[in-house]
Amino acid sequence: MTGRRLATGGTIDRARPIAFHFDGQAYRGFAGDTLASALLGAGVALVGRSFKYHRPRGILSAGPEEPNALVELRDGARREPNTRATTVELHDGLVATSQNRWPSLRHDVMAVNGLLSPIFTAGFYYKTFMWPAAFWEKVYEPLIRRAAGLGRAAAVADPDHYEKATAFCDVLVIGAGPAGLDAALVAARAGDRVILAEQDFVLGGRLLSERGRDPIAELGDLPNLRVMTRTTVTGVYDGGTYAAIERVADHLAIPGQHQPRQRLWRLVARRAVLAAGAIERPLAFGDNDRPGVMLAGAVRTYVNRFGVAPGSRAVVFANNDDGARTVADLHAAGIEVAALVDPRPVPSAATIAAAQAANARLAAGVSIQRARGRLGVRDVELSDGTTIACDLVAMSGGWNPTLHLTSHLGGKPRWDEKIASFVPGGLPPGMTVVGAAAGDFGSGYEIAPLWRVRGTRGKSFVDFQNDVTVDDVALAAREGFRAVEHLKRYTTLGMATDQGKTSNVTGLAIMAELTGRGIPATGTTTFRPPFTPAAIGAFAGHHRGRDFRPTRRTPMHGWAAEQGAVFVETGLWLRAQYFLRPGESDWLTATNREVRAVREAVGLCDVTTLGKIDIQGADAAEFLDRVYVNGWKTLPVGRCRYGLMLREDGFAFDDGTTARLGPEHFLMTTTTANAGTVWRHLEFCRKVLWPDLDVQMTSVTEQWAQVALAGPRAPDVLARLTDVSLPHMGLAETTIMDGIEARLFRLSFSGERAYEIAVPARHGEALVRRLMAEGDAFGITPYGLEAIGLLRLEKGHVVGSELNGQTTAGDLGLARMMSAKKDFIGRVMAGRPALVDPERPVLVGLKPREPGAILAGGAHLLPQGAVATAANDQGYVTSVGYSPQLGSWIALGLLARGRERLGETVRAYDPVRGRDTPVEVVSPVFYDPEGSRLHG
Amino acid sequence: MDEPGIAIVTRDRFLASIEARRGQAGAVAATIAAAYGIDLPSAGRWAGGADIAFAWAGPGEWSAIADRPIARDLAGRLAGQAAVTDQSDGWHLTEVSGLRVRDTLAKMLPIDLDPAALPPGAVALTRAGHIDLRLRHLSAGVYELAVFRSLGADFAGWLEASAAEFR
Repeated sequence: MTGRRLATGGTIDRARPIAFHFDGQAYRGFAGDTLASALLGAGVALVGRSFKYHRPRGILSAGPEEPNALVELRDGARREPNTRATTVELHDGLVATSQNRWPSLRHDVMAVNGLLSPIFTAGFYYKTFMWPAAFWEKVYEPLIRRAAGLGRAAAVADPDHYEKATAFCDVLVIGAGPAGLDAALVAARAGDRVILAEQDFVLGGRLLSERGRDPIAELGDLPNLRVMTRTTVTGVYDGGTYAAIERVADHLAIPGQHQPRQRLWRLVARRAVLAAGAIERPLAFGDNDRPGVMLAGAVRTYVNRFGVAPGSRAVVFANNDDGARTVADLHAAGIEVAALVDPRPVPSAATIAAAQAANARLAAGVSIQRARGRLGVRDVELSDGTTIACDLVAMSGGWNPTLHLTSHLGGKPRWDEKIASFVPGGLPPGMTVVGAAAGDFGSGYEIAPLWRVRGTRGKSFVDFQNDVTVDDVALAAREGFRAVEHLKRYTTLGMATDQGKTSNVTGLAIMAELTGRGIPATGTTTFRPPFTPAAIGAFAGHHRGRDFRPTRRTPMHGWAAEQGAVFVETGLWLRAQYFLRPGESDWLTATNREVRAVREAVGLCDVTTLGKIDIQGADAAEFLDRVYVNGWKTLPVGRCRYGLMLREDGFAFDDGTTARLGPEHFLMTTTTANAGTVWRHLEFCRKVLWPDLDVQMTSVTEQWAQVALAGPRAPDVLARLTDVSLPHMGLAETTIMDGIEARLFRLSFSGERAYEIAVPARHGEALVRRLMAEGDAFGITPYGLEAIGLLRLEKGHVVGSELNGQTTAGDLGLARMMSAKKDFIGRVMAGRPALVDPERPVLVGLKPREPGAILAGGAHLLPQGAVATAANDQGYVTSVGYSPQLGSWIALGLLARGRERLGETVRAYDPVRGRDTPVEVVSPVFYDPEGSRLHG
Repeated sequence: MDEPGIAIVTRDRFLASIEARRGQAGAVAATIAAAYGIDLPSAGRWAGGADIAFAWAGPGEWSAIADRPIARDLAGRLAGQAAVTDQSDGWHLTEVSGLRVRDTLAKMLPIDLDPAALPPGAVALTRAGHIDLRLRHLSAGVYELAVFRSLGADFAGWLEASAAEFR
C-alpha cells in the first residue's frame, strides 16, 4: 500500500508541518493530524504486530476503537504502552515506537507463532500447560508472562502529575458530533448549564469525516456552555455522576509547568445526552487483517478529514449502503476504485449509481474470500473466482451504536433487526440517547448482515487485537463455551485495551449462527467502566507518594524534628517514635536512654494526638455513665478518672481518662487511633439513642496542645512554671507563662510521678521549649512512642494491641470496673456465656526463662511439651519490649486461665521468625507493682 | 493591576463553637440577636461581618468567627443556654479569591461552586479529599476555607499545587 497526502482537502493545517519520529525514523505530518493519519500520509502502512501470532498489522480504524495500531508513545519515564495511534494528536517532538516485535517491525521472529497457529487456538493455555501441575507456577506461567503482553510500561516513576476535579451541570452532552452539537446548543440556549464533552481534540465527530457536510456551526460564546475537548466520558455511576478523563497535556511532549498530564473529572449532571455515535464492524474474510484492509468509515475519515489517501487503488467491500458513500468519496479524492464488492444479490440503487459514477466494477452477490500480500494487501480473491489487484480494502460490516455507557448501571442492550445491531435498552436514570448512538443511522441505511464469509482460506479475524478468528469462535461452540461470557473468557474475544469495540457483535453473531439460537437469545457481554483505557495516575490525582493521604502534624512537630525525632504514622498523625541523639544510630539505644530518663529523672512527651472531647450539659454525667462501664456521677469537680468503654457487642472498645471541669462539664480523652471512631459512636449515642439527654459535644483535639511530663523530677520542672500543686488524678485550670491559659492534669501512664499540661495549640511549641529549658538542670529528655510503649508495658497498661476488638473487660483484668449499679453500652452482651467463659485467654505478663532471649509479638502460647497445633494453642503474645530496668525482654499476652497460672512455664512459639522460647507467666505489672512511685 | 488568577491568604481569627442546650435554640438566637444584632443563620448560611460572624454548623450548632477573642464573652452571655467552646486554635483558616478561584477549588471540593448554587452568604460543610472542610462564601468570589489545624500544612500544599497553573 502506498499512502500519501492529497494535495487539498481536510481540516489539517498544511502551513504548520510537524516533525515526529516513529521507530527511530523522522517523518512529517501537519497540525490537525493524528499519529495514524500522519503515518498513513507518510506512506507507513505497517505499524504493529498482533498479540498472539505477531502478524503484521496496519491501521484499521480512525478512532478509539482501534485494535491494531497500538504503539509505545514517548520514551524514557514518560513511555506509555498500548497507545492507539488513531487517538494520538500529532505534536512537535512526538516519539512513538512499534511494540510486540523483535528485532524489528518488518522482521519479527515471534511471527513463528503464526506457523504454529494450529496449536495456538482458543483455550491453548488451559489445554497445554496442565501437566505436571507443579510446573505451572515455576515454569509455565513465567514463560507465558514473558511472551504475552503488548507494550512495555516505563520502569521508573511517572514524572508528570495528575489531578482530579468536579464539575456540575444541568445537561451533560457526551460526544460533539452532529447530534451532540445540536443537543448542546438547544440545551444551552434554553438556559441550562451544559457541559459538552468530546474525546477528540476538535468538535464535529462524523461531520469531520463525511464529504459535503457543513463545517461545524459556531457554538458561539454562551457562558453557560462549557466545551471540554480531549475529554472522554469513561463511566456512569449512581446519582447522575459521570467519570471523564481529560487529556490535558497528552498532546505535548512534556506538560507545561504546573500543567497536569491528565485530569479525572467527576461530572455531576441532572440529565445526560449520549451522542457517542457508532463504531463500524469489520467483515470476517480470509486474512482480513493485512495492512491496507481498513474500515470504510475510517477510509473516509482519512480522505475527508486528514487529506490522506490510504491507498492508490481500492476495493470497497460492504454489506450496507455505506459502501456507496465510500466509493463516491474515494472517487472524488482521485483515488481509483477497482471494485465495489457487495454480498447482497440485489444492491440498492444508490450502490449501483455510485459504482457507475466511479467507473468501478460492481460485484454483486459476491464476497471477498481472501486478501493477499504479507506486509500489505496486494490483491483480493473474490468468491466468483476473480482476483482484483489493490492496495486498499475499505470494508463495512455495518455499524454498532456506541452504547457502552448505557449499560454501566446494568441496562441491557436490545437487538434491532433493522440495523442488525444492538441499540440501547434500559438507560441510566436521567440519560437520553440521540443520533447514531440510539441506532438512528438515517433513512438511507440498508444492511444485509454478513457475519462471516464462508469457505475462505487464511485466517478470518473477528477480534484483531486478540487474534481471535471465526475458527476460534467455532471451536468454543464445539467445546461448549457457548454463553457470551464463556466465549469471551475462552477465546479472549473482546478483552484488552479495545474491549471488543470492533469485534463483540460479530463474535456473538457468529456464535448465534453456529448454535442456531439467534442473536437476542445469545445476548451480549456486559460493558463496564472505563469506556477507554485510563491512566492509573489520573485516579490517584494529587494523592500519591507522601500525599496518598493527608498528614496531621502537632504544633510541636517542628520542635521534635529539631530534636532528631524519627516519626511514625499513627493514623493520619505523624508522631515521634524516638529521638536520635548524635552518635546514636538505632531505635533501641535511643529508646533505652529515653526510658531510663523517665524512670530516673524526667521525660517529656507530646500527647496532643490523644482524642479530646468536650462534653457539657445537664445530663453530661448521665451520658458518661451510659457510655463507660464505670460510674461518673461521683467524680468530684477537679478530678480525673480512668474510663473503659465497651462496644454494643460487649467487647472492650476504648479507654482513657476523663476529667470533670465543672458540675456539667467534662473533658474526655480517647486513644489516638480511636478518636474518630469514639466520636462517631458518641454522636450516635446522644443523637440517635438518647435524644432526650441534654448533652453537648465538641472535639477539642485540635484546640489544645498537650505535653506529658513524667519522672521523679517532673514536680521540680512543673514548679518552675506554676505553683499549683495537684493530688493524684487531680486537674486545675490556670495560666502559665505570662498569662497563657492552661489545663494541668496529674495523670500517669508510665507509673512515674507525671503531669500533662495543655495549652491552646498556638502556644504548644513555646510550652515545650520552655519545659526543655526549665528541665535542663534535671536532665529532661524528650521521649517518643517506643518509650511510651515500653513504659506502659512495664506497668501492664493495655493499648491497641490488647484493646484489639477481641478482648473483654474481664480478659484485660478490668472486670471490677464494670458497675453493677447502672446500665451501660455493652453490659448485657458482655454477659454472654462465651464472653465470661473461664477458659478465655486473659492478660498476663511473660518473661523469658533464659536471660537475653528475645520475644516477638504474635507468638503463640503453648503448654510445654505440647505439639504446635491449633488444638493446643492457648493464646498469644500481644506486646513486647526490652526493659532496661529489668535487663530483659518482657511481654504481655493473652493466655487461657492465665491468672491462675502465675509461675508456670509455657512456650512462646513463633514459627514466622523460627523461635520457640520458654517463658514464665507473671503478673502483667512488671515494675513498681505497689505504685509507690506515682506518689513518691 | 489585573485581578490575579488566584490569591491565597492565611487568616488568624478567633473562633468558638456554640451548641444550644436541649430546647434552647430559640433562646440562643435571641441572646445573639440582642448582643450582636445578628440573626443566627439557618442551614447552609452564615451571617454577620468581618468583626463577628456566625456560621451554621449543624442543627442547633453554630461557629462564631471574630476578629477578637470571643469565647469567654459568648460563654458568659449564653450560660445555661448553650455549650460554648473556644476553637481559636483548632482551625487553619485560608481566604482564597481571584479569577480562577472556582477552577482551583473544583480540584479539591466535591460541591457545586456555581454562585447560583453557593452564593455569598453560603456555608458548606464538606471535604477536600479526606480533609473535613468548612467553606464560607464571604463575598463574590472570595471564600474562607477552614480545616483542622493539624492538617493545615498538608492542605496548604495541596491548595498551592491546585492553584499553581493559575498563578
